[in-house]
Amino acid sequence: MSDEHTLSSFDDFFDVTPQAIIIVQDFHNVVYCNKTFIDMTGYSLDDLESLSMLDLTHDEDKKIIENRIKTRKEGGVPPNNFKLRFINKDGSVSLANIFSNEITFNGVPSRILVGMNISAEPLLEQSPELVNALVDTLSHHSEMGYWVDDINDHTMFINERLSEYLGYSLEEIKNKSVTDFLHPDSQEVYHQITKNRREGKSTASSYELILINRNGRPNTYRVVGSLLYDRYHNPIGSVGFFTNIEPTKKLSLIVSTLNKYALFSRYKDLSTFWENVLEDITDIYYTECGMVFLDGEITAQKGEFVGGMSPQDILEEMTKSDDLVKHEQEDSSKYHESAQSVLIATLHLNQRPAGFILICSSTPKLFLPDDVDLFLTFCNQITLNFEHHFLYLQSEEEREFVSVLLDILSHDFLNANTSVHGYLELINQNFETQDTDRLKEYVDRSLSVVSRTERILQTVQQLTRIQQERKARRSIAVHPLIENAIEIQRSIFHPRVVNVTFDCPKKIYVVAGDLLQNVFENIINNSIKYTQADQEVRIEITCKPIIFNEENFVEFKFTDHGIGIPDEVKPTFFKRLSRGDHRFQEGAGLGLYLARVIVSSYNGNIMFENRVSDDYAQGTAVIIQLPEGQ
Amino acid sequence: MATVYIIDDEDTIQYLYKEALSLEGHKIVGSASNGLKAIEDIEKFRKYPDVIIMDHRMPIKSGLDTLKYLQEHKVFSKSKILFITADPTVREEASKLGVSLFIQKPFSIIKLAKMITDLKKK
Repeated sequence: MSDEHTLSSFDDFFDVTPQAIIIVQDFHNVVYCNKTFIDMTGYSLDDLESLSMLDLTHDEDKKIIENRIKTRKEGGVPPNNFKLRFINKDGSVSLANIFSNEITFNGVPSRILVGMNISAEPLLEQSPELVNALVDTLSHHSEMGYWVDDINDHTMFINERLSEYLGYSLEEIKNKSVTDFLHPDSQEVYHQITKNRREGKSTASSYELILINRNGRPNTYRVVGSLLYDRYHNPIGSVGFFTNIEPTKKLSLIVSTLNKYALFSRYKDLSTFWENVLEDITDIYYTECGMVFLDGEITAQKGEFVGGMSPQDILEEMTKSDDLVKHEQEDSSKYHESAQSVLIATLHLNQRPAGFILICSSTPKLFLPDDVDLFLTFCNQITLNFEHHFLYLQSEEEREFVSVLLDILSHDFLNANTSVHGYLELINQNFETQDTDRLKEYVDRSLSVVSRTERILQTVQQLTRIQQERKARRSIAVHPLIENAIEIQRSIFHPRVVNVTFDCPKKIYVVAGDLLQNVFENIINNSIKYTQADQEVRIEITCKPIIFNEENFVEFKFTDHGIGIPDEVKPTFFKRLSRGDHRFQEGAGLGLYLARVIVSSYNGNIMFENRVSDDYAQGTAVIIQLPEGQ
Repeated sequence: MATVYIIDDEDTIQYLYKEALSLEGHKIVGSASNGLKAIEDIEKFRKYPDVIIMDHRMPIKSGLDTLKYLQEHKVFSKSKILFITADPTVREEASKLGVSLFIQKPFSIIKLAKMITDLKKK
């Protein structure tokens, strides 16, 4: 068997072994090297053709090579194990532990040098204090927690910091896996990253994991992790460095939630606003239950509150103790029977305690001191956002109110003034004609205009009442209101027969104000007035509960058999400018424009449709939707 | 004497115009409570009045919208339009749309009747 054949047989093995192998002839000519040597030094085979063993050796170690050659030339045998520093192609240095043996290569006496890269060893050997200090810092003094586990996911080590975060000692944690502590939201992330690593795919350099501690308290960590390999590149476990980012994460979520509600024109319904706020804050704090109590009402609630203090009592307790925020761990059950951690912050409106936000959990010691401060900041700021929003809505309403008043003054009163002025001019002109019929007609017309201005003034008064009523909405029984409205309109149009079918449960309530009856009267008034005189007046009134924007509403439908609303009028039916149409001008003091303003002020909707869908002349149905009361 | 067509949504104002203009000797050939009705009415009878008195703020078709329609469809080009409104901001637009005389409320009805006499002479 030739030696050439012998080398080829081992070629594949040489290229995969972690040891660097070179073969040297004539003392320092390199005639072979394996892939590991190339990887270690960075030289190509072409480079090595022109380089001797001495060229590859660090200047300070050249003497070692020279001495070994000298010994051999003198017939001696140098030690077959020695350490040598190689100069890599990029100028860096690799320290190798070399075993040297004699072989015959291509029929020529040669030496085979088998080396192990031990570049890191000097550090460990020469500075054990440094290494100990590093391990000590990471283990005991660092804010960073770390975790080492074996290939079977058994924990090998956690440092003191992580042990403190999780509430378990190393002994307790030994047979557990990191997955035993994962929050359900983090399971998928963790398994995907682990799978990618094992398949050799690239993964994110760091990622977030939520771990649950001994008490059940979730905590978010930023994790930098890696698989651990043996010298043959087999995975033997993994290591993860955990930085606690829970406070930063909470802060960031709180800020983004506050930003979300800073401009929230879409939250016209204020109960929806507080429900959204409560949902967000309970998510941020991982709590199962919560409540927003404001101005004597529970405006949002998550979970059932049984066996605890009443919201009013909680507010009184907070106000009495002058606490802005309360963190209750010992006596939590007085707020909620299964609560073990409770946070309450007072909500101040117009500088007075007007309510509170309470969040609670069955997890003990859920809240840390940082959480309490942040919660208070959140509650203060969200109240400001709420106040700003409320002021904005109020100013919008007032702007609309002022605009309507100006419009009435500049148009309706000016028109009335023009008419009366004109008729007085005509009376003056015709005074001497003694045409009393004509003069009487002018006086009557003037009086009619003056009467109309009085009605306009009443309208202005009604508008002012709407402004006041916005703040005084309450739950109102609707049945008697509609009955009254029907009776009043019947008496106005007496002796005309008005047939009304009223099909509505007696115990139906809506959240509205006193002007609601005027709205009903106005609609019935229009239905009667716009049914031709030779026809019977027929009105059907129905009501039914509906869901609108996920809220409980009641829908009222007033269907008449009158002359209907022409298609060209429909787009402007409830608008202020429609007032010019006689149909809307001579109502019961309140036009349909005002009906819309009133219904809108109750957070309701008003619309209309043809009684017969493709024939407006068959009559009209006016539909009013109002929030359901209790 | 001028033939006059009145477009105004208020019945009392229409009556006032009719009375004052009759005193001055003008003939009222028709009236409507909005621009749309007026266009239908005059196009139907093919009688073009000397003067059209037009209010601006009306339901269905406002004064300015009616003027735009008239200009686009080149109808009533022989009629002189007297445009009446409480809103001074529409004066420029109304002038561009062919208004002969712009009157801002409040005004004297007797003077208005005389203005129509002058307008017809122009």
